Amino acid sequence: MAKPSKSQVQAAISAIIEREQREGVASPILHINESNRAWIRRNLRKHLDPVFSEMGLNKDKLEQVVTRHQDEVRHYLKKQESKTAKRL
Amino acid sequence: MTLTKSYGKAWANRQAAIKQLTQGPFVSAPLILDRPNSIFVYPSAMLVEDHIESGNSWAKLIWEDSQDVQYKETSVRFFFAWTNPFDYLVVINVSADLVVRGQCTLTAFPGLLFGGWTSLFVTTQLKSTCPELQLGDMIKNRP
Repeated sequence: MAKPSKSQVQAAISAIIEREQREGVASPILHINESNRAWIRRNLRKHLDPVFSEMGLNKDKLEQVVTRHQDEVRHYLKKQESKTAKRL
Repeated sequence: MTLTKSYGKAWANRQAAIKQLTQGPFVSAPLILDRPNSIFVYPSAMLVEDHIESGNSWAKLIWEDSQDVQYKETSVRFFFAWTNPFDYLVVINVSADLVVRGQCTLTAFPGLLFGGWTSLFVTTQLKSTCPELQLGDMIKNRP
């Protein structure tokens, strides 16, 4: 697959902005309050558990991978912290 | 968008992602995007200065608006783009770290029958676009 050029990426971003300006809505998700978003997250977690088993996926293993990646990102951010603090 | 519709959409997206994970060997890698492709400010007149650099991108804004107008929005957005270099679909899990420094005052005045309201959001969104289809726009929240 050919890598999109810088101008193609910029065009995709412009398309997102134009569409939102045309439709007059920054994001539908912003119209859902935080407690409802928490409700969605909670229920998804509960309802998706059986789907993982149904598909034969080891959810714990996937969660371990996600946790490992999050740790790597945290480590990266920690390394950047002093630089960021100086800039602020 | 109603809560039911939002839930339905989130449910369909998650199911599709889980199904995709079963389609081939599981390979994963963290990816850090620390340089935005562009900064978009609306209205553009409030932008004083902006800067794009790895791990140090910012926008300075000054805006004052005392007119009581319905649904007026101002925003500053940092766009980070990632393009899938593979010939197959990928499942992505996104988080973002945002830092805000400055002063922002929002005032909503009570009306006779309908009170005014103002709100301030700091949010992260993931939007997927498919160039061949012009724009397939989908919003996903981090699970």
